[in-house]
Formats: sequence, structure tokens, C-alpha cells
Amino acid sequence: MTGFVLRRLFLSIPVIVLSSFLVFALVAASSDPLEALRANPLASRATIAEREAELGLNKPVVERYLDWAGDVVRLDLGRSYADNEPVWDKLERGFGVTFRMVALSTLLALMLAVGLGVFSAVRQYSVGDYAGTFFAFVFFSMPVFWLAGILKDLGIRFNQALGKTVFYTIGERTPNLEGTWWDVTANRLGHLALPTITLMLVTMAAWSRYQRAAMLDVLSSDYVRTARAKGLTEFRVISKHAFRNALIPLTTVVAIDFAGIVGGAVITESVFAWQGMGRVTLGAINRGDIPVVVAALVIIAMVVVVFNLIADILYAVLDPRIRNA
Amino acid sequence: MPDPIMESGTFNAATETTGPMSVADDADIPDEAIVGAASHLTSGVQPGPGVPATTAGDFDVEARSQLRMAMQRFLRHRLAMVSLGILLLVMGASLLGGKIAPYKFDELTDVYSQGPSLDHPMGTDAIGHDLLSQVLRGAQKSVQVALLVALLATSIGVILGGLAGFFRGWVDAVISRLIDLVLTVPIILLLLVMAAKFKDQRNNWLAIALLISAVIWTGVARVVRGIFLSLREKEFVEAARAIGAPSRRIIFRHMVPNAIGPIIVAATLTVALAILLESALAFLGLGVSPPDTSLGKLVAVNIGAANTRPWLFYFPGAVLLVICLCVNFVGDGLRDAFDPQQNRVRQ
Repeated sequence: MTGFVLRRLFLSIPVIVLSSFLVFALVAASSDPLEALRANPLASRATIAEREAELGLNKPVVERYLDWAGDVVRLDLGRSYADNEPVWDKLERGFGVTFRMVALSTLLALMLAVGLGVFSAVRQYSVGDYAGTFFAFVFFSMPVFWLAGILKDLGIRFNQALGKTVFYTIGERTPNLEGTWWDVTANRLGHLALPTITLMLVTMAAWSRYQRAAMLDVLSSDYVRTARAKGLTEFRVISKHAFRNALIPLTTVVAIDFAGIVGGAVITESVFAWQGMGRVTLGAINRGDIPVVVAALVIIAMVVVVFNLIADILYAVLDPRIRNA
Repeated sequence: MPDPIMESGTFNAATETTGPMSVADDADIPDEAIVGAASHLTSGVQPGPGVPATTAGDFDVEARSQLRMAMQRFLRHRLAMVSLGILLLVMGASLLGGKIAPYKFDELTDVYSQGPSLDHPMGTDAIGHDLLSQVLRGAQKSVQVALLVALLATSIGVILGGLAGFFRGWVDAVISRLIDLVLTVPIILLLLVMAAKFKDQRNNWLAIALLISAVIWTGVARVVRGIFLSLREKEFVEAARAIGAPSRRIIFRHMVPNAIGPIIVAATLTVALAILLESALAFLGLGVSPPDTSLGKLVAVNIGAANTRPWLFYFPGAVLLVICLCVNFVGDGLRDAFDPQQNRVRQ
């Protein structure tokens, strides 16, 4: 097992290297960090050239990438072009905020998708199955920010109807809030609820379809028929024989979709005005702040690679045929 | 590209003939080694295409091509047909756009921020645009982008996925790694980075479509690669190779037609995905440039008005949802039609 994990980790290094180079080249080719400076009538040509040399913008892309990668290997992500703040400090602040939303909504989406998918498959063609299918399609066909906007609107109306604020629709917490532990937690949850539900619904939609298909597949397999023929109760057949095997395909899907969830989180954060990683990254993209953009994307890529690794390990845990091969 | 296996409820696998596909599918059923023989026996009982119809007088069986069978199944798929109808209606309306719209999309009337009325069925915005006319124009642009993306992304995906699946070896390694790379980065951020250059250009919908195609061909490619990996081992491909057919001919004359079902399905789902991606780009400030508009852009710029002037936010969003929903239902119906046995997750 350790050998397997180590080998996979080793194999993922080239993926990260290539991915970071691709991202670096793309960002370098499509953005101009000195746009603001060039537009400034007071900046002379010499000033611009000086700044260009300072940031190394006049060097070829490959050389700039190698410089950057050399620093990264020494655990230095560089400094922001915009305000010279170390990139890591800039990203770290947003990380926790984004992570809270992504982790919670992924977890909830996973549990709900598995539950809904299994239910839909076991009660195939029932009213519940059709309703689940329909809503999965609806959430799957909806722009994230529209759903976020709707929930925000509903949250505001709910607050108005109730006469007090239950759902907060702006920011990830109330600044300078003082109170008991209970007050602070309620405040956090009130901020967290709507964005998390948004991301959860969008993520859950596709997953529940995968889970339903996987469960249907397993339920029509011969070993389930055998289990039934042995006279096991239906509950035991489903929970012990079918359910475990039906989880296998979803692990891959979840790992593959992770980058997409982060993309959805960026948009959701934007609607609810969270100061998360998305906000930092979007700002950096608009300013052509190459070190920040590249660092954010590479960190996401690394997380995705780790998730894929975890999925592979889970695969082995869930499927003895892979474990023993 | 998230392409969930949307296997809907109305297929009628039991009544259809069991094509060669079912045998191929059996190959990856777990525990096949033990019980495979039994399942082959049961499937052999049904009259397959190889079994001559003995009671021709009663049934008048007529040979039908696979494509035609799929077509007939699709026409019987009620949800998909209704969706197709709605889709054609919306697309027709958006194509006629300027002709049937009560106002020009960039015309400024002197009615500001008013809710739906007879003159303005969807209301007006703060500077007097008639929302219905804008929605029609927006739908036209969204569909325009989406169709171009579907065409381009499917073509690239079929070619690269096909090459990877057909030649395997280093070609496959290179193309597969490329696909993996795209999976490691959020598509929307990748698009944002690339789209920054085209922010302020006029008529930038073409550039936006090209960029979206450049990142989402991977979904189609993955599907096609998977199918080609299994098709290349089939007897008819071997036969074609034995009579000396060049690779190009084998790929495009023999393998692509056999993979046409999943390709069409993937292309359909790409349309919905492209509309959603374009709208997400618009929301993040890099959509079609003004004065032009798209559905996504209309929703995006009016998101702040959801509570105070809801019509500005809900109407364009609803039209966008209806289009994507119908496209996905049609794709789902096509999936059922092309592969009635489809209830498998891995392809």
C-alpha cells in the first residue's frame, strides 16, 4: 500500500510541473502586469523599462518559469506584483474561508447525492425517482450565480418576513462581532448557510445521477440476485451487497470534479461578497498579477492531484479486486 | 466536463432486440468470470439480429439500420420530444430575434425600471431597454456561441480522442496527459485568464466561443477515446485492416460511425455546458462586450436587482434555464435512443 501511494505521488510530479508551466505560460501570454503603469501619463519609458526589468518581464517565458519554479522549490512563492506582499500571505487569508465552504458543501453534496441516488435506484420509476431526476436536471442546467442570486433573494425575503436576520447574504462573518460562543457560531452559520447550499445543490445534481446509475447497475447484477435467492432480507441485500459496490464509481467522479467545485466556489463567493481565495484570484487575474494567479492555480492543481490519489486509495479499500491485484 | 450518466426512466430495453453492444458491455461487469456464461445464455434466448425471423408472415420484420432504430426510439421518447419542441421554439424565436421583438435590443425607450406590462411583457431596465427584446437578442448570442462551441469542441474531441484510442502508445500518452492537465485547473479560471485579452473588443463572441472550445473538447475526447479503445479490438476493424484499409479510412469510415451515438450525446451536452460557461464568464466580467448582450450577461448584470426589480433577474435566468434544461433532456433522450442497454457508469 505504501509503495502504491509513493509511486502515485512520484507519478503526479510531472503532472504538477506541466500544469504549472502551462498555467504560467498562459497567464504570462494573456496578461500585462504593467497595464496601469503604461496608461499613466507621468510614467516615462525608462520607468516602464526599469519596472519591466525588475519583474523580469523582458526575459523569455521559459526562463521566467524556471526562475519561478526554482523559488517554489525553495518554498518561496514570490511576491505580488501589485503590492509586493508575499503571495503566500495573500492566499493564506482567503484559503480558510474558501476551504470552509468547499469542504462543507462537498461533504453534504456527497452524502445527499449518495442517499438520493440510492433511493432513486431502489425505488426506480416511483414518483420520488422522477422528482429527484427532474430536480437533478434543473440544478445541473442552472448557472451557479443565478441559483446563488435566487437563494440570496429568498434569504433576504425570509429575513424581512421574520423581522430579524437569520441568513446573512454579504461576507463570510460580521466584523468585530462580540458575544458568547453561541452568538459567534450562529453568526458564522448564518453566513455559511446560503453559499454552502448553493454550491451543494449544483454539485449534488450530477453526482446523484452517477450514484443512481451505479446503483441500478449493481442491483441488476448477478450477485445481488444470488443474495436475494439466498433469502436475505431486502435491507441486507441493499445495504451489505449492493450499496458498497455502488460507491466505487462515484469516488472517481468526485475527485475529477473537484477543480470544478473550486470554480463554482469562486463564483459563489463573488455573489455573496466573501473575502475568499476566489476574490484574491479574480483580482489578480484582472491586474495581471502573475505570481498570485499562478500560485493559486498550482495550489488548486496540487489539491486535485491529492484528491485523485485519495480516490485511488479508496478504490482499493472499496474493491478487493484492485487491492489484491 | 461533467457528463453524468443521465439514464432516464422511459427506455424500453426489454422489448428491443439485443444488439452486439450488450455482449461487449458484459465484459466489464464485475464477477463476469463466474456468472458470465449464465448471462450470455439468457441473452441468447432473445431473438438477436443474427437470428432470422422465423415468423415473417406475422410480424413483417424489416431490416433497420442502427441509426434508424435510434431515431425511432428517440421519436417515441416523450420528454425528449417535448424538450426538442420547446428548444426549437425558443431558438426560432431568438433567430428571428430582431424581426419579432417589439423593440430593438439596444433601443432606449422612455419607460424606466417598470415591471411586466402589455407594452413590455418582461418589463424594462433602469435605462429603458425593453427586456423581452434584450432576452431575444441574448438568447441568440448564447445559442450562437453554444452551437459553435459544440461544433468545434466535438470535432477536436473526436479527432484527438479518436487518435488516442486508435493509435494508443505515445500518441495516447500525450493526448491523455493533456486531458489530465485540463482537469487539474478550474475551467472557469483558465477561461478567465485567457479571455482577459478579449475583454473590450467588439464582437468578441467568436473569441469567447473559440476559448471555450479550447478547454472543453476534453470531455468529448475522453468519451471517444474510451469507445475507440474497445472498438479497435472488434472484428470489423480487424477485417478492414486485413484488406489493407489505411488508418484514416478505418477511423472515419468504420469506427466513427459506430461511435456516433455517444458522440452526438456528448455534443448535445456540450451545448448546455457552453451556455453555462459563457454565462459564468459574463458574470465574472468577460462576456460579450456591450452594447451586445447574452442571456448570461443579462442575468449577471441584474443580479443586484433580484430583490428590488425581480423581473430583470428572473426572466433572463428562466429562459437560460429552459434552454439548458431542454438541451440536457434531449441529450438524455438521445442517450437512451442510441443505447437502450445503457445503465453503466464507466464507458
